Amino acid sequence: MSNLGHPLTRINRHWLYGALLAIVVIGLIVPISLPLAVSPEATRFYEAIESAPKDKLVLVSTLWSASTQGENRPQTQVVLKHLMKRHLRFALIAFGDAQATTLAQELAEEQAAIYKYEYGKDWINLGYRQDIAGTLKGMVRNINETLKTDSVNRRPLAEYPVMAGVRNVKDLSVIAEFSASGNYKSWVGLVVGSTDAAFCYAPTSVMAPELYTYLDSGQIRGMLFGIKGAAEYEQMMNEKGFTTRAITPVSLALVLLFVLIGLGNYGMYATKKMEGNS
Amino acid sequence: MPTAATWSHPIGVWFGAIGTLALFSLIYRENRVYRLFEHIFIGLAAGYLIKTTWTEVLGPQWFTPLFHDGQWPWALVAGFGLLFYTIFSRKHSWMSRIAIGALMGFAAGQAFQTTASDYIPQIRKSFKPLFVTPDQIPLGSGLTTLGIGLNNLLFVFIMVTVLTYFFFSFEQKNKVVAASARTGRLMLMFAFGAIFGSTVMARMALLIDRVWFLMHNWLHLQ
Repeated sequence: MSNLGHPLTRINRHWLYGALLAIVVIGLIVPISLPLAVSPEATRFYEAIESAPKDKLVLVSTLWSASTQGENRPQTQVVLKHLMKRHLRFALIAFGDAQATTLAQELAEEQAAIYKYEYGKDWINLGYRQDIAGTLKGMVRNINETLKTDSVNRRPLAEYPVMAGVRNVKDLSVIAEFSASGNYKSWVGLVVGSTDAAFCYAPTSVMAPELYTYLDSGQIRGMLFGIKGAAEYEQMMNEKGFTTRAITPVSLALVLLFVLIGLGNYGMYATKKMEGNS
Repeated sequence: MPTAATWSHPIGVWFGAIGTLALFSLIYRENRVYRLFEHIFIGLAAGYLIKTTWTEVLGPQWFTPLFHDGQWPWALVAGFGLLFYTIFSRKHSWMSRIAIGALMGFAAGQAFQTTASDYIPQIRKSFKPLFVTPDQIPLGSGLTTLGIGLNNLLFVFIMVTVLTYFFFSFEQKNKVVAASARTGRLMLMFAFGAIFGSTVMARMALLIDRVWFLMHNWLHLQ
């Protein structure tokens, strides 16, 4: 960039990083409550869990790691909380990323201690699988034969009360996937047509726009749009957790970006005008 | 599997905080501390993948059935998998094609099934009524026939214009076709803008998560 340009085009980038950091810190410390409209897709996700029958199992699939936990962790946490509040049986399963099973286990243990959930009776961890397609095809036929043992005690799944009456995906009420990748295509392609279970998806914000065609066609019942979706879910549950606090700095940071883009464009325009006059 | 208490141990929190600050130091400029922690992070992730692959997949699903339960056919799986490595030998590389061919056949069959169940419901759903009757309004939605009709009209208009843009079989000289394709490109730009905006929001969320970790878990400020 020319040193002769408008001053707005020569702002040191460290000032911009500093401004962003300041807005995030202030937004987290000072609880400014900005209005949050709950989207129809988040409502449908919530209603799928709220209306799930208690005699069926909810499958919670995770495919995220430390790199996207800023969005996927609060999503998973708030839905696990909802499941336990309703006292629904659930099973964890992880695909794609090796960290996913440990992080989901950690979250489930945290919430289980609060809601007195007993491992094996109320919930179970089916572990991590690398082969997504092969595992899903197997689960359509028989979950116990495909996955065989749980991830914590390595005991046969049939021995656990939580798996009673569960043979295949037809015995699930809701399939909820929390993901940092495009794994929904495997679920839609291989599982959704074989069960009446509501398939709900919680992706990172990067991926969410491409899912609207699947929401429109009904292949995906509900969706949580990144951290915003988690905040909406918290609002529906009348909870005030991390995302309710975090959504304010997200909004403030986006306002800052709007302002900076405006200033940058004005700087470019002013530079061109200066060059034209000289 | 480690319990939740293991991960929230003060040593883990301190290591996480130092790692976060070291990686953020790149914002100031490239430096050796950043490089060191970048390598630690990549090494940890790779090591964790190897460990989990053994403890969650190969150990319980292959090693235990083969060596503890005496299910010898699992040895054939190892033999089949090892065929991939013959690719490194000029004399025996033809054997790797057996494994690759089988894998490609499996993937192709899978892709055929998923493509049908993926796109056919979407194509079916893209036929939307432009003249909506009251019985087509979803119960409790609060929508009107005019609102749904306009929404459907907009949907069909955008879909047709975008499809026109991707029609490359003839030169788009006709004015109507050219205008439709230009509009389609404009609509695609709107979509890309929405994706970019979502990407920015995702990055902000990751930053906020790390700042919250430093403030809440490490410094106990909140």
